[in-house]
Amino acid sequence: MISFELDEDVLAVQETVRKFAESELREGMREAETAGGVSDAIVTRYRELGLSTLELPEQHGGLDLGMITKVIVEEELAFGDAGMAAAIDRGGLAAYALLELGTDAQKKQHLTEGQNGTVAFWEPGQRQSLGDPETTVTEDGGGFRINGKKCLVSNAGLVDWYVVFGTVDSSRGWEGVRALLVPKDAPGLTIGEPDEKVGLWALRTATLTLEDVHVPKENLLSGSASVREGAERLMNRVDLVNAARSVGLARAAYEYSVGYAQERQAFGSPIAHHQAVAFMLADMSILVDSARVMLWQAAFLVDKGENARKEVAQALVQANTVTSKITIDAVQVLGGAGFIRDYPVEKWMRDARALSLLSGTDEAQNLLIADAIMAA
Amino acid sequence: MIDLELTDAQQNVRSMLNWFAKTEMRPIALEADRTGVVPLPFLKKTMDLGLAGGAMGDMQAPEEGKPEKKGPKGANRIAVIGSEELAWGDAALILTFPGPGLGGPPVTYTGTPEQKERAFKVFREDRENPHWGAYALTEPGAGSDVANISTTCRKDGDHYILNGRKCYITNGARADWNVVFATLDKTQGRAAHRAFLVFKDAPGFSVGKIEDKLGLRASETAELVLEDCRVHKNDLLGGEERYTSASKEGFRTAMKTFDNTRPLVAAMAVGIARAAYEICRDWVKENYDLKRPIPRYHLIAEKLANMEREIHAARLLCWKAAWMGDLDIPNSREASVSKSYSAEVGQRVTTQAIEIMGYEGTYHHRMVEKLFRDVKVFDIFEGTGQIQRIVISRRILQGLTR
Ligand SMILES: Cc1cc2nc3c(=O)[nH]c(=O)nc-3n(C[C@H](O)[C@H](O)[C@H](O)COP(=O)(O)OP(=O)(O)OC[C@H]3O[C@@H](n4cnc5c(N)ncnc54)[C@H](O)[C@@H]3O)c2cc1C
Repeated sequence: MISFELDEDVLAVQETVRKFAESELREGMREAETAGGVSDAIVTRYRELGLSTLELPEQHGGLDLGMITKVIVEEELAFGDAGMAAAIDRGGLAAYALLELGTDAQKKQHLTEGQNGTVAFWEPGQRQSLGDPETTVTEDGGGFRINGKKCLVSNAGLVDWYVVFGTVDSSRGWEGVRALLVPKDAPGLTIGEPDEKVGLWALRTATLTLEDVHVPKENLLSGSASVREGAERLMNRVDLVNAARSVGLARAAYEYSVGYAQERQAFGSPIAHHQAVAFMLADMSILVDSARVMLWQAAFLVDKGENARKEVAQALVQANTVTSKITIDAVQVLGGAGFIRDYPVEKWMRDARALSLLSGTDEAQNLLIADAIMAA
Repeated sequence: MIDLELTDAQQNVRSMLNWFAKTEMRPIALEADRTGVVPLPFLKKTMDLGLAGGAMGDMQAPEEGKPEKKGPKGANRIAVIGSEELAWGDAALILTFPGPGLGGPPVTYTGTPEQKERAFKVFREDRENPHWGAYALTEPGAGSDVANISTTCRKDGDHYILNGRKCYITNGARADWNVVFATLDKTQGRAAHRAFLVFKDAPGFSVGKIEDKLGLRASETAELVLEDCRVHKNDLLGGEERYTSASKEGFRTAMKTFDNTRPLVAAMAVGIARAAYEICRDWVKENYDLKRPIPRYHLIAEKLANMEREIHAARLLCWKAAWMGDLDIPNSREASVSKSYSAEVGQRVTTQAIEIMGYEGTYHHRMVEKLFRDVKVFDIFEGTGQIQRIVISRRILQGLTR
């Protein structure tokens, strides 16, 4: 049909989030950055507003508003602060893993009770590697034994359990992949010191080391007939969230630049009236739009239940590419002030880099897109 | 509700036009580009199928002061979908489709019923011969700076006398009539601008040079000369009543045309980009064993992925601007966003396609080479990329839209 119109209820949610993001996230972002995390109070507030579950199905305590609403909410939150948006979403990634890979019993137990979990996507020296993990899983006395290392795990140390992907036989590709729930107190699991990243400091990430970690067979996420398909649906959701945060971050830098350029004077007029600056602002506006339309279309397709892996990857690459450029240009618009921590744009430039690394590098996404192109 | 998929009806339009593009346009594209001649049978076919002027969205504008009497619902969306498809076939040929062309919207928006009848009658009544309308704004001394036109109009009894030169006018020479913009008094700026319906037999109207161009070579680009050109006061678009108080109407006429046509022009750039991309992609599929673990594979794969992604983004921006147009939401920023982004993507994609394919002189190479030349002008006409950025930055400095 081609309609970009937001429904009333979505607009209402957007308005609520916008206020929350402006008052609590934008105001508190430097503090959270310095502290390397967010307070429990703000996580609670985020949950009380109903924002942590709105895209989930009703039977699991959600509002069934779908990924369209989710990406709109995440754009607003990241407009407040991208790092905090990721940090307050303590159970979000794991909820998606349960939704797409868990059995009904697992969903019931972990989703409905609002427990905190996270997904360990990465391994050292590797690209995002759900389908090709080096972490090994061996069947052992009615359960599983896990050995390996996972890095850049979001909210590591702050959650109750982790979703870990490992392989029983690396020669079998996806066939050999198992997704397991690992409780935080499992013997053999160590959580490293928080990472010192280029940006997104408010989001705690760390390395997990799994040495002969044993979990019972009930911890196998076995609700999806195909692990591969479940994992792809999981990645669709996660990539949409990351792309939405990227768009929100880009918009933050864009809007701040517009405001600053209208105030700052040079050669007798606001710098926004000098064309070199005005054109940078125009380009930011063009690029934010370009990323948002792709994001919305990808979310729309995912909500329709389509396998939109390529469209989602495209939305993510577009968002990351655009955000990288916009945040760098924002520093340029502010000149010397852009380099100084009294102003937010230096932070956004760092956050953009971190966000794009955390969401899977553009090269990896591009190969995924290219494979889809070639297979068509 | 957000819905970013085509309906069956939209899909049908797309398929129909894609079929036309593939079977009627592509086969003659290279030859038309080489000779600059568009075969008459082709023009007739576009008329028989009712495509005449279609791509430029003529006669779909709302009646002045009667917002409820719109063109068919969703006309802007259908038009961008169609523009992309036809430009995928050949952009120069679209500009040559018989019909009022860019001259259509100003007549529809601001013409009196009598003027509309006079301008559009010929397209309705003569189904045997191709006819065109055209839009003559640009002058040697005023392109981007359209407010600076110096073609003059002077009242003389029941007539106006026009003097000046217009340049780069698409179909200007073959057109039955041109919408010609002129000024009553250059010192008074936009308020003094007037638009006239100038028929080709008007005394004092003549055609100058026909341009030889980088691309869109099958499309006619003409210079028009107005030497004491005499037109009746009934040829003043909108009639004299429209101008009783000092207003910017004339200029608005020019600008209104752009808000509606920019997304269509943008969609044409998307169509050209897609054509180049698809040719390149298929060529790569045939010529490379892409599973070879050579670095070159990754390079090319990455390029193809970027090309497809950017085309996709550009298309959605066109859709958005058109959707806003259909809903009567002010969209000049979005129209400019779609136009500037699509033109850039078009240039990037066609350049990359040539880079990937090299040149071997085969049909596919010649097509891509032509598309590379054709797309450049999309960053120039209907407002250069820079002018789009001026429009966009003005809008955002007036107040952010999110
Ligand atoms: C194939 C073709 C078909 C055309 N068809 C038509 C038609 O049917 N009817 C019609 O009326 N016109 C037509 N045109 C004319 C077209 O609209 C103009 O060429 C265009 O508007 C640019 O004007 P110009 O050529 O005078 O360039 P200029 O205005 O001289 O621009 C030159 C350069 O300066 C830049 N520039 C100008 N002003 C500014 C500014 N304020 N800030 C920053 N940069 C600036 C421009 O972006 C451009 O890069 C056509 C042109 C071509 C090539």
